[in-house]
Amino acid sequence: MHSLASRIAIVTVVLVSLAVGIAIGATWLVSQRIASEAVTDSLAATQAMQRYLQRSSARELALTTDLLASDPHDTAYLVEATRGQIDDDGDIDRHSILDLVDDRRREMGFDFAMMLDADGRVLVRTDRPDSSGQMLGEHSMVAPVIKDLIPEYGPWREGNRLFNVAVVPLTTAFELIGFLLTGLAIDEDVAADIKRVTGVDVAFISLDEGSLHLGASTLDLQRSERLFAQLQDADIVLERLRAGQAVGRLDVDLGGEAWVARLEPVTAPGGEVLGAALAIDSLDARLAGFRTVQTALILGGAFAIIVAFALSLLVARRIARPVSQLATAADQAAQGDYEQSIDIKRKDEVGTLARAFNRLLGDLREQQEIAGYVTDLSRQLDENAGSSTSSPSSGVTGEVKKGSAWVIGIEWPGDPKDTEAGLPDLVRTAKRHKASLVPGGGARVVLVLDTNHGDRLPGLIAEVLEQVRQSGDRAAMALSFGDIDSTSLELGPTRYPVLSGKPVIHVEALLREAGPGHMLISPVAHKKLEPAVEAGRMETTITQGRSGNRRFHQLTAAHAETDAGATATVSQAQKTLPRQKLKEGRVLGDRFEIIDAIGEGAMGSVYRARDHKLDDVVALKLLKPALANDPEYLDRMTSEIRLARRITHPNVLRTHDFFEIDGLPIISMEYVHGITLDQLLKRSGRLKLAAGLRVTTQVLQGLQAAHDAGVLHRDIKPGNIILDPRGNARLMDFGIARQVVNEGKDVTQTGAIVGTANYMPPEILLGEVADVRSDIYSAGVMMNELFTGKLPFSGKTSMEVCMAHVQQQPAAPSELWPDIPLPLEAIILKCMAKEPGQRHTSAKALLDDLLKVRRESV
Amino acid sequence: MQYTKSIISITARWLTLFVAPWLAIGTLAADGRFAEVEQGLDPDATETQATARIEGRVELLSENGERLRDRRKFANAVIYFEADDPGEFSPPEEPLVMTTRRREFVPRVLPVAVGTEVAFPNEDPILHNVFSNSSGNPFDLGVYGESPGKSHRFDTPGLVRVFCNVHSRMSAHIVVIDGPHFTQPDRDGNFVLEDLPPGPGRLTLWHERSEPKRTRMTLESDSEYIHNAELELTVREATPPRQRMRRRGRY
Repeated sequence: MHSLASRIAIVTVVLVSLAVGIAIGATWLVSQRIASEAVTDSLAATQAMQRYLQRSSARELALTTDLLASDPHDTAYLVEATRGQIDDDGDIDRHSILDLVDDRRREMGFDFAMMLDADGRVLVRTDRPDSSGQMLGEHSMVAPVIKDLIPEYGPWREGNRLFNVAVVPLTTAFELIGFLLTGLAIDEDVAADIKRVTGVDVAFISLDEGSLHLGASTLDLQRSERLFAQLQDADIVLERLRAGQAVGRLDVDLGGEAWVARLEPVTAPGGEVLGAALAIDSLDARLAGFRTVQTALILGGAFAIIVAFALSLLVARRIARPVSQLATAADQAAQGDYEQSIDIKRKDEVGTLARAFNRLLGDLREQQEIAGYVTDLSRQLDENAGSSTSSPSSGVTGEVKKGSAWVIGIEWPGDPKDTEAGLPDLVRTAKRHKASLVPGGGARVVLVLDTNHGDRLPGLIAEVLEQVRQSGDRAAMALSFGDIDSTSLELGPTRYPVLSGKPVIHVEALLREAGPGHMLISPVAHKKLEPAVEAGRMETTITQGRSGNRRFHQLTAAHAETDAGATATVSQAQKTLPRQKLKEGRVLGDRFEIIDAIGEGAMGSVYRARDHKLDDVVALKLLKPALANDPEYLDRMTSEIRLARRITHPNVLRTHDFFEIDGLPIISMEYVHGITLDQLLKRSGRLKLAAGLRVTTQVLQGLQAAHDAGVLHRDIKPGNIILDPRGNARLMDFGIARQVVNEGKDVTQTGAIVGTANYMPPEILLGEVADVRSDIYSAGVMMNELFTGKLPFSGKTSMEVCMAHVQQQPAAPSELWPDIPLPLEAIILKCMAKEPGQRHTSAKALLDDLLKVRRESV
Repeated sequence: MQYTKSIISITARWLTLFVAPWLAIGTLAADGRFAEVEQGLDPDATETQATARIEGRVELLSENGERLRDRRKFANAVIYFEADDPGEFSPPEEPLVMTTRRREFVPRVLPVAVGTEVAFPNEDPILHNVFSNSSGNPFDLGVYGESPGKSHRFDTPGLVRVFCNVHSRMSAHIVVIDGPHFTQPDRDGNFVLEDLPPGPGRLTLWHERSEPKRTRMTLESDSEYIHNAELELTVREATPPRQRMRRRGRY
């Protein structure tokens, strides 16, 4: 799964698992080590305690025995028994000695006792009553006592058992009678005592040359046996013990349990190893505590992982759901569907994103709407122009002919976007000149002009050249003439026109050779064009083909005659049919070349021209002769234009300059492809809310810019708003309308009042000075018209309309459009307040209010 | 009547003057006679003067065979002669003395003739006890403090080992001899036994730490015998060690 939620969840789980795993692993390792060390320490301590206890016990034994040996009566008894009477040559009275010794042994609780003579020979021993005579004088425990008569005590091995033994001299005042030797077995009680003190299990083994014998042990029988078995197998251990070394750590397995043993040799005074003392501790028991911790960690960790997983999934979903919503919406929007809105109300970044996205979508919707209007309108206008039944919005399929025709091929190299960008213009061009457009495949377009309409050729060529130039001069062009044939190919639901004939082949060949921006012509075409060339309508030259091998004829320019039959096209601002004063192709002042007429305005005709100096297309307004001849007017015009030039705003059509060229007063302005708002309104009636708001805000932004520059528009009306192909509104015809006498609906009073009556504010009508708020009033009227489709005041004459502005209250917009948002209605009515003081104080204030409405409506 | 009184008084005075000294002398003589006996002289022998005499020197050797240099050791040796036919002799009238002084029996070796009474005064400020388990002469005088103490008559010949109940380091020997012929060597080891009855008998040399060395002898009258001997002190002397208990033992 690649979803955001699952990724976050997985990462979180992995992190938590890692943390838990590390914690568990670390504790396990550390606990093992700690337990092991604890065991080793406790064992060492136990053995130290063992040694201490044994020494104490042996010393105690020695002291007791010494006390015993000091008893005068016993001494008297023993000396009599040993040395007897002066006349005795007889045997020592062993029986009596044994009797006393054993008696004392029993009293004191020794396990055995012996009496040795002064040389160390056994006189009697209680463990072997019938034996005597064993020489112990050399014994490592006895010899020192014989030497210095100081009692000795320590470990002793008798048979397979270990004892603590004491050897004590028996003396009178002056004579050594013999030695008393007593022993206490190191038995279960001793072991138990040690365990009680140390808390650790102990065991004793006796070790001689050959074998090992288990002595006392605090472990139960089973464990003792297992321990013993493992000891017998541990040769290294035994070796070390025999060498008199301790074995610090021996791991033993007692029935599946891990125990640790420590062994110390029990050595006799002479160095002989008698056996070993063991301390054994259970590793598992030590680890028990840690195991609990571990288990707790594991459980806690597992719980934490589960919780982390659940929580992260939850949080991730919370984040991811809106994000995925946004993603889906964005995806759909990318495919052109702007109709969604994201309902996410959050305070974090996702919320911000959602709100921004919604605003963006709103913008796109508005644009789409406007664009929709524009294309809609252009389509319909095209229909009015009486073109053929083809639909320019698809712009591809054209009527196909048969017979002799001119074929123009245009090919854009590289980016197919260039092709698409140029298509709409080509479509219009074709339409205008009655040519058909056929897709040539890929980045190629073919125009076919029937010879019946051959007189349109120059104009067509001129426009094609023009368009190619305008689009960067990258396309290659070719022109040929001849008989063509056509069919159409149906592939599924689509019909593909197929063109064939010699001209097609010529065009293909020529396109291969044509350089960017060049139009090559076939020899046949060239021949056909000779009369036109001679007439000066076309210019040709010879040029090298791209391959460099051949030379071709190139058409460099064509001049179209003015065409009385040409209808207004999409790209023109359509007012009334232009009264042409300037011909197409006329060059003014060596700079401006008239391309065609755009329309007729209040002040004069408007033309589209090419500014050769700046190599740009501009609009030229030729002032009416009446105005041109008024020097006062011209002065005012100059100063107005000076002001208007200062306004540089995307929503204001730029005024460039004011010339007098060839005796003609001309204003040059920015040229924009587009339709006016009143054209749009005529077709569609009224604008939808989003579109209307968009247009209005743009107009007001432009208006504010003008006000900032100190210029009042004075003539705000839909006719002065032009919408470019992207649907952006531009304000034009600034302030220049003042003191201009207009035709049509205009008030025909010389002097003060100018502007269209429909949009005129009351105070102007009453003769007061105009200011910013007058423009606002006009904007309000325009808004009314935009959103409701009707003017607030109407009348048969302009006089009626003017009176209505001054006296009547405007109809509430909600009556004409019930769904109007109330804030919007309020704004419109405020703009149209009779008193300027009651209106918005500036375009910006109005704009702010509108933006609020716009935000809330999105 | 005046004459009777004066005659009696004169006679009394005269008797006293003349008889008393004789009584005194007689007593003295009797004493002297006892003294003679004390010295081991048989009264019969006084009359006959038919005695033997043994003199000699005793050498004390350690276990290794080395001569002991310590002269004080000779004090603990006894040399005596027991005739097969002991005859009559009377023990001394005055008891012999073995004192407890500074936690020791003094002397440590006391030879006595059988029948002699030995007194055991206590010169120490502390309580002492005197007892013996030796066969033939067992006794226990109880515990008493500084006092003349008690005494005991030793009626059986043999070796009596004397101990103090209270103090384990106190012991002594009383050698009860069947006869009056005994002596102790001087500091050089020389000894003399005189007025020995002729006839067979046994000469015994003994040290508290040795086996008795017995020699059978038949004494001729009016003979002098030289008897030198070596006594091996086979019993080890137990001098109290500086340290009572080994400190660390073997652990």
